[in-house]
Amino acid sequence: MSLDYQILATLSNPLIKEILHTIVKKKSVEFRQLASDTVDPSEALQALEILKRAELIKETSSPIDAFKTYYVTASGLQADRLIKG
Amino acid sequence: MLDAEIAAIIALPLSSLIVAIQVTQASNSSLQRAIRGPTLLYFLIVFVGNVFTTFLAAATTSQTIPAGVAPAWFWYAFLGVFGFEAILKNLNLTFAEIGVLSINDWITKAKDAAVADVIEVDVMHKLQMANALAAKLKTLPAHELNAHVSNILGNGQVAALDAAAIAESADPLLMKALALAKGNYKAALAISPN
Repeated sequence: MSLDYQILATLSNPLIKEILHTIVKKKSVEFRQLASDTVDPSEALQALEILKRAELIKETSSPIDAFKTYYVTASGLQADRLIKG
Repeated sequence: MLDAEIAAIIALPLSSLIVAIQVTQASNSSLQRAIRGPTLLYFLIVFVGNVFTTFLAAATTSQTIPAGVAPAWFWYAFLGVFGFEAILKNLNLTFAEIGVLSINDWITKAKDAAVADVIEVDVMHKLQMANALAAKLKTLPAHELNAHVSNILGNGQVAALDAAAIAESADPLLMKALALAKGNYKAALAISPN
């Protein structure tokens, strides 16, 4: 199994890796649950955008950003398994 | 009918059971939502593999299975189905220049596709239900909605959600209705107006 170099580079960022792992573990997470005391909301949002562009996660629409739900894709499951070794 | 053929037929419900357990567990979803195209494709791949290893078990273990404990077809089906994953993971064989390990990768990809599809369906279903409930809760008088938020989500949540609504320039009533619907769906359903 191989991962795209671009995805590997993306996942070299510890915050992005951690957020992907959290979403994989919980299958789907709301933004307000991710942007907690330990993670700055703007940094979390940036990491989620990168993960979305890499097609490792998807997002549901919501009239309120805090309630947007992020969930893992098949590529996200594969990427998380491979980076965990 | 030969024992090996009966065993191959028994592999069908056993494969269904394994795929159902794997997909529902990995997606945290119900079996009802898991019965979809990608899951059926994954099932087909697992079933074909299980039938192959069932025939392999029949061809290689017919002289060594314990007599009188269970019929031969049971042993072949059991060894074939439950041995399939072990064989794929532990043997580094090549068949027609295709590595068995790459077949394992193939199966994993099919499983990931099935699990991700079920997760998506589950997320969309829950979202639809929560949005529909929030639309009803939003029609409650503000003081009543605030009381329910305090009771169901805890003290201090009204102020926190009001502050969050101001920060996002969002409707505070919608913010609280969504928080209730997503925070505790069953309790929120019980207090929703008809």
